[in-house]
Amino acid sequence: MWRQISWAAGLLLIFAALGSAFLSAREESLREAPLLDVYFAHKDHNKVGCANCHHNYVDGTGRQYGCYQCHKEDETVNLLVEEQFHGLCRDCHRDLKHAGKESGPVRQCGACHKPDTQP
Amino acid sequence: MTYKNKKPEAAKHKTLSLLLFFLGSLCVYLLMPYLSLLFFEPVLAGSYWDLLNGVGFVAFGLCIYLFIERARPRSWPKLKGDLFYWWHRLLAFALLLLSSIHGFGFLILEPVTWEYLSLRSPWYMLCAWLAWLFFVYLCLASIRPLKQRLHGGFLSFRFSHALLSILALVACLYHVVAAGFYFDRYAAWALFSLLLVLVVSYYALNRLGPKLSFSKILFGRDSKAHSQVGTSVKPILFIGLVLLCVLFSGGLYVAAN
Repeated sequence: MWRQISWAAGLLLIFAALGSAFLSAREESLREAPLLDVYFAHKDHNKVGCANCHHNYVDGTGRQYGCYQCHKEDETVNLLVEEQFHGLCRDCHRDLKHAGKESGPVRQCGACHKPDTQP
Repeated sequence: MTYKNKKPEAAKHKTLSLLLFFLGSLCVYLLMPYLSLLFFEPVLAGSYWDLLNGVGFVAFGLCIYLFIERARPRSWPKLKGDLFYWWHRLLAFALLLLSSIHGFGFLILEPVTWEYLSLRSPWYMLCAWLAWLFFVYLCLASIRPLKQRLHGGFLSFRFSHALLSILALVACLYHVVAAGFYFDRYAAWALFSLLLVLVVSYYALNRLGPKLSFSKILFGRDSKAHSQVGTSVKPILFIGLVLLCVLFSGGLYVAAN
């Protein structure tokens, strides 16, 4: 009985150690990896309110130039970059499509994630 | 007298009409969820995206089906059990093939998805790869020489097979729902969680039931057990299942948001 319990405890410890190592490696990778290229044309978004994306002009958070400065460098938010940007772009596109309106890509990764100079 | 000896109906499943009906039903079951999504879902991706996701949906349907079908010899005595052992393995390899097409198809056709192979990939993608690795192991470990080498005894195989299958199913569920491509509402979570809980419960009742007399209690096959428990307990058991579903669904929803 004690042998089984010690085996189970040992396995649990190994899993906990592996899980912890995995989580820290993932966090490091998330913080250090460069952002993917994104094609974005302002002229395609002229019907969207500026503050919908440029929230720093309204709520006083963040810096003046570029989203990436905060969303990539600030450690309080840079782990959320994937869900924040996908949440902003993809969810807006999807909501518009649900409403039957014209919108940008919803799922195809390559339709947005391409060099900014390539329409 | 065992249940198998009580109803020896070995030849019935061999009839062509029954097999055709069975295969037709399976095809409808596997294709219906995705076809209905294509019909009702206003946001489609187009081109190979919907096709590869369709393959993924069929694989997920197959994953759920494999739980039901494995347990069928006990709950559907008109069909012989041996057929389902063979059929179960065949469909499991089909599941591995379909899930491979789904995953590697995207990697080939959509190079940006290589990002999902990294550690920084979203959890729902990591879960998908984990489930795929489980599928690979489950299929390989079912081949006789490998099974003996990896597990030795049957009990070890059965335990690891059940555990990894359930983990793979949960990982697949999380991948399908949390990706948010086709299901982005709480109703989707609730529906899929209900499905999952029912399938796993069905599986558990059929696997463990004969030992615990639990399935006999629920299904009422054993008159002694049935009379001992009485009808008033059945609703409590089913309410318990529903509560389990709600807790599971809510937990997953909170974890994903």
